Amino acid sequence: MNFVRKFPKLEQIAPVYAVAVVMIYAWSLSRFFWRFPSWLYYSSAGEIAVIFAYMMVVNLIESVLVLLVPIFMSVILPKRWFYEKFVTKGALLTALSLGYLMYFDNHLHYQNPFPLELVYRTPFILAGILITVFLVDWIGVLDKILTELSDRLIVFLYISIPVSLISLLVILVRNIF
Amino acid sequence: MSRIDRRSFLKMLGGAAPAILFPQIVSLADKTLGQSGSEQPNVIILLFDAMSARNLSVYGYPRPTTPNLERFAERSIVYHSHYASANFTIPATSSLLTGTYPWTHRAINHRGMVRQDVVDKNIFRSVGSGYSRLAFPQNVWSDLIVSQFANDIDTFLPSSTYATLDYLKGESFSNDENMAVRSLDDFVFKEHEQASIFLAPLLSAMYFRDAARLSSDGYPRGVPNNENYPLYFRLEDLFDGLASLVPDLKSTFAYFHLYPPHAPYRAASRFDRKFIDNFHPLRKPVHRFSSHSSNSRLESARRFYDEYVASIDWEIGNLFDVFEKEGVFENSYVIVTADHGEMFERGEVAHTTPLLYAPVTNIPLLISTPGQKNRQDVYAPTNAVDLLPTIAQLTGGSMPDWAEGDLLPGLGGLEDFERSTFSVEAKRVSAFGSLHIATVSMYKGTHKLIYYTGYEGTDSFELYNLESDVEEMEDLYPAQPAIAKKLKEELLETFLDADKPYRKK
Repeated sequence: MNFVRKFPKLEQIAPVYAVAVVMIYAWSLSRFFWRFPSWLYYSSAGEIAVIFAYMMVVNLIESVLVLLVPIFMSVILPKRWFYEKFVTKGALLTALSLGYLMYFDNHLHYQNPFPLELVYRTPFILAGILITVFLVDWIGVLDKILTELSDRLIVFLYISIPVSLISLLVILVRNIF
Repeated sequence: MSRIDRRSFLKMLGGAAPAILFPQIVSLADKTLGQSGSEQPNVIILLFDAMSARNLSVYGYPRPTTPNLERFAERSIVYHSHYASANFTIPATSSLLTGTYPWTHRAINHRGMVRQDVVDKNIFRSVGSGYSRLAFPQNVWSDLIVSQFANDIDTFLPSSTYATLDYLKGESFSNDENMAVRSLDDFVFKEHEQASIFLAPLLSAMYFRDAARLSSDGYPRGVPNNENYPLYFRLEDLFDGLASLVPDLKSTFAYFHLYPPHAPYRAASRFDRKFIDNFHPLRKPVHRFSSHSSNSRLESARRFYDEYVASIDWEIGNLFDVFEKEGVFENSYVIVTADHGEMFERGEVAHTTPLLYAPVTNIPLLISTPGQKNRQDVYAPTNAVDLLPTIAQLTGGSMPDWAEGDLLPGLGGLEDFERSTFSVEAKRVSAFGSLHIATVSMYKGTHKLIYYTGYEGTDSFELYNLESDVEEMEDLYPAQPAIAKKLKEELLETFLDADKPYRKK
């Protein structure tokens, strides 16, 4: 199957996933520690641990969903377009997309009018991100930087994956039994 | 629905964190609360969010906003000088439910919660034995507070019960609802500073789409919704839901914290434009701490609010007809009150400001005792913190020594015009620290003293005579130094004493 041959290998997936994990988990953790002092005041350690567990599970789901995007692109596009530079292009696509989502999130409020202008602008921004991703072939330095950087971020997976799986177990036990 | 008494199990285990992480496992060792023996009178609290006594015709407001509450008043004790302990949901609800002032329970910020050592001192635990305890905090902020007392509640109805459109994620986790609400709705997917970077915008977009598609039949200004959380509801569904609970009320302490008439003010068609009339409220000077809203905005917001209150009163009337038919009034204490009020004066349309004038702090309190047929009026100052000791007493429990309120007059207490009660606003400071930016108002006798600290270079006071100047128009602070000095000393002594543990040495 052509699709299977274009499915990235684990060593290709890991650095891209690491980029997603660092951005998603760092975003959540920054907010977690911002709220943490007040939680200490009115919550027990166990309750704070449960909040942390829910957060880690959501982060796990989000990071996997984000990872599916470059994998999907690798599988459906011609091999030369994405698969052969999966780490570089996947890492750049993930970083830019999540960066835009961070900007989007900062403008999002339930009670205020939904930021429709941002929604209308999003296709153009996504097109810009895709063009940048495909232009990376022509910028050798950026290619090297992205590969090296994403490779070094893999170390965070050794923390995030076990903690997220333990959190998932905690949430499952609390909700099933 | 039985809830888990984690506390007793924790005590049994010596307080281990795993028991909190996996509460359902420990539920087998638990026993439920409220196992009733002989039937006792129900206690039903109907608390309306942001309902100011100053806009209710039952308290003399010129617009006929509450004909059904007027009907109810004819069989109730009507408290005319009842005050909220704070000016927005979190601290005000916490005071009512813990019987302590905000400077004690310290739930003083938006999304704040009651400090851990006060959690055990709550109204659900104070109710006498033999009672089943039911809570329906429709306001999600109230849900946050009530969820802290979940161990003492037998039946907990989530905020989205009777909702038309619900995007509260926590309620999908029925076995772990309270922690899921706190984790997901109040943190991971919270509208401000979500911890979720990817799913939050997606969920918000879906909510926006569904809310835009929602039919607004019967509500010309849109279907009522929770201003701060993704939850829409119809008044008729809400009150029909409450009526459906009536057959289950047997020796029950029921706490219903209903979101209306909190903003956005969305009256039903029947009452929309009802108050386009010649009523023009007294224009008051714009306060320096207000948002300087124009008079036309104040008047239109007031009209929308009044029409919304009238819509709610209509539904209250329908609910009370069911109560009458089912004999609820014969075997129940029915309590109508609010957490705080709402103001449309001095350049401000809101309640979460530094201003503690009467429209924000003067809240309704009407209590119908079992079988009561006549009206009784109480004019002495009372406070939301009085409900806990009174209910504890009425239900056969003992009056807690830590409660900062007194027994309500007519229900075990006596009218005391010289008693001091307080309202506190301190959302801008940390719950950990001194209340160095705060407003405190003290009610004593016919006077009210307002203290502003930390907003400006120097502290300031205002003094009003509530008997001769109900509208709080004439500041007597400079003109009556003797009274001002006496009240100021008492207010500062009480305030500084409560704040002392948090002040740096």
